[in-house]
Amino acid sequence: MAALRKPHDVPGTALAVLFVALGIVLIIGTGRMSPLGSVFPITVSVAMIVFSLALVLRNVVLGMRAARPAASEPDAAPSETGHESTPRRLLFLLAMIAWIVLIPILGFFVSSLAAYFAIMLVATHDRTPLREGAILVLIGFAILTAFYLVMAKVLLIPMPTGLFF
Amino acid sequence: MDKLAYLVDALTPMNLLLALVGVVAGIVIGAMPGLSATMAVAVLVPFTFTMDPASGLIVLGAIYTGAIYGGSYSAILVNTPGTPSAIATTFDGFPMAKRGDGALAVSLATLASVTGGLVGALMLMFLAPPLAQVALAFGPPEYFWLAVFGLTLISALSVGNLLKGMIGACLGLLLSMVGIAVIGADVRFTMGSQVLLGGINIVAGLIGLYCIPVLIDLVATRDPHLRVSSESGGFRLKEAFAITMTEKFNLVRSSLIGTIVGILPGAGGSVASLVSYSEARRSSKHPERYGTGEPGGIIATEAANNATVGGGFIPTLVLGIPGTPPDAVILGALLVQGIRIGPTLFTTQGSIVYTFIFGLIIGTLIMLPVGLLIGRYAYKSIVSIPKSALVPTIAFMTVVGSFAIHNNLNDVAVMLGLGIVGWLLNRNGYAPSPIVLGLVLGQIAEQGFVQSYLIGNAQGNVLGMFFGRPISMAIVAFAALTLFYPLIAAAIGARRARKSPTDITVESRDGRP
Repeated sequence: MAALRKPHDVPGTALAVLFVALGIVLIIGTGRMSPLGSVFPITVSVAMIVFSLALVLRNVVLGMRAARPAASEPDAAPSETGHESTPRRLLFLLAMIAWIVLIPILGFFVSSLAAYFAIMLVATHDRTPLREGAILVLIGFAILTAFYLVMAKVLLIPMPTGLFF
Repeated sequence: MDKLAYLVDALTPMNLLLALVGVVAGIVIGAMPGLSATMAVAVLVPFTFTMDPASGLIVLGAIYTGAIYGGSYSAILVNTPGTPSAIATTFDGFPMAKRGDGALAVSLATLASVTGGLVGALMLMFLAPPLAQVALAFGPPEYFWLAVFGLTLISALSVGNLLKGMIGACLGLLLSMVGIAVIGADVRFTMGSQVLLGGINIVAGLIGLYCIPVLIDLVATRDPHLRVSSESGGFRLKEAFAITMTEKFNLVRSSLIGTIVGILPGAGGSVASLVSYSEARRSSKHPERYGTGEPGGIIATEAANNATVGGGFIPTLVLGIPGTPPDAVILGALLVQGIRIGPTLFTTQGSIVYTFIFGLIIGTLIMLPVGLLIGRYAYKSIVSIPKSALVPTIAFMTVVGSFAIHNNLNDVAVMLGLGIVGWLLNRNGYAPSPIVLGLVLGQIAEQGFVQSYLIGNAQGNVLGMFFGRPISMAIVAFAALTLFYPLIAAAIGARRARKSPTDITVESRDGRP
C-alpha cells in the first residue's frame, strides 16, 4: 500500500469530491421544481458529478503510478513561494468583508475611506518615507472623493448612507 | 454618391467635437469594471434630447463604441474585463501585460477595435436591409447551439486539465441558474434567500472571479503588478501594425463574426468575442500559444466586440429589434427624436440614418488617436503607481463597479464571495475562465434549449428542431470542429509521420497530461 502514501493532487481531488456532493445536493433540490425548470439543472449537475468522479479516478490512478517513480505532476497546484504572505491575504479579505459590512452603517464614503487606507497598509511591504506616504494618502483621498462625487452628483446613483455619508 | 452629402453633414465641427467627447466619455466609463456600455449610453441619453437627431445619435454611437473598446484596458492591465465583451481579451491581454508587453497589447486592441468598428459600420451602411433577415433566421435552436459553440472554448481554456475545465464550466452553468428561471419561473438554488432571487449578475461575477484573485495575490508579494518592457517604449504602434498585418485574415474574419453575432438580438459582444476567439485559435498555426499572451487572441476579440456595434444597429434600425442592450436604449432615444424605425427608414429618413452611420465611422476613426493616447496614459499610470496605492484603488473600483450595476450592496457581496471561491479554485487548478464562460452562456443556452424543446414537442419533432435546421447544423459543425480539431490535427500528423519515416516526431496537442 505504499502507493497510497503519495496521492496525486490532493486539494484538486478533495474539491472534486466536494463538487460530487454539491451536484447531489442540487439534484435533490430540483425535486420541488417544474419539469421544465429542472431539466437543465439536473443535466448540468449530472455532468458535473461525472466529470468530478472521472477526475477523482484519474488522480487516484496517477497517484498509484507516481508512487513508484518520482513522476512529474503536470497540473499540480501552484506552489507557495517563500515570498508570499498568507497573513496579508487574510487581512486584505478581512478589510474587504468589513468594508461591505460597514457601508450601510457608516455610509459609502466614510467606510470606503477607512477600507482604502486599511488595504493600503496591508499592501505596503517596505517602509515608506513620510513625504511619499503623505502623497499616497492625498492621492487616495482625491480618487475616492472624485469617484464619489461623479457617482452621486453626476451619475445620480443613490449612494448608501449610514451614520455619515 | 448621394451618401457623400450625408458625410458632409456629419463632418460639421460640432458633430466632430461631439464624437470626440462621446468617444472619450465612452472609453473612460467602459474601462471601469462594472460601468458598462449600456450604463454609459443610458446615463447620457437625456443630454441628447436637446440636440438635433443626427448629432444626438452621433454622441450615443460614439459613447457606445468607445465603451466597448474601453473595456479592453482593464482586461489587459488588471485582468478584469471592463465590459463583458472584453472577457476573452483577458486570456491573452493580461499575460502580455505581465511579461512587459502591455503597451503593445493596448495598441493591438486599438487597431483591432478600430478595424472591427469600421467593418461593422460599413456593413450597416451598405448591407443593413438584407443582413437584418439573418436576425429573423435565428430561432431558439440556433441560439442554443451558438451558446454551445461558445462553451467549446473550454477545451482551449483548460489546457493541461480538461476535466477541471469541464467541472468549472458546469459550476458556471449552475451559477447562471441561480434565481428565477427564464422559462417556467421556478425559483432555483436561492437557499431561501431573497438576495439571490435576481440571480448572480454576470458583471459582478466577472469582477469577482477575475479581479479579486489578482488583488489577493498582489498584496501577498513584493513584486510589481506588471513588468515594464525595457527595450522599447511608446505605443509600439509599428510593431502592433506589423502583427496586425500578419493576422489580417483573423482580423477580417473576427470582424465579420462580430457583425453577424451583433445582428442576433440578445447575443451581444461577449458571445461574439468568444466565438471569434475560438475560431482564431482553431485556425491558428500555434493554437497552444493562445491563452499565454498570443496577439492573435486580442485581435480576434477586440475586432469582434467592436464590430457588434455596427452589427447590432442593423436589426435595431431595420426591424426595430435591438441587437444588444445599448441598442435598446438608443432605440428609445430614436423614438423620442421622432424617428420611425422600420425597413423604410433608410429611404424615408435617409439623411438622419446616413449622417448617424457616418458619425459612427468618424467616432471609430477618432478612437485610434484618442484610444492610443488614453491607453498609453492608462498603461503608464498602472505601471508607475506604487502597489500600496494600486491595490486599494482597484479594490475600490471593484466595490463601486459591482454596486453600480443595480445600486445594490448584495451584488458587492456576491462579487467578493465569488472572488474568494474563484481564488481558492484557481489555486487548485480550476481556472476562472470556464466558470465565467458557463455563467455568461448559461442563460442563453438554457433559454434556447427549453424553447426549442417546447416548440419541437408541440410539432412532434424534437430531434428535427435541434438537428434539422441548416443554420443550426452549420454551427454544430463548427463547434465539433473546434472541440475535436486538436485530435483531428494530431491524427493527421500521425498519419503523415507514418508515411514519412524521417519525420517521426509528432506533437500531441490534445491537452492530455
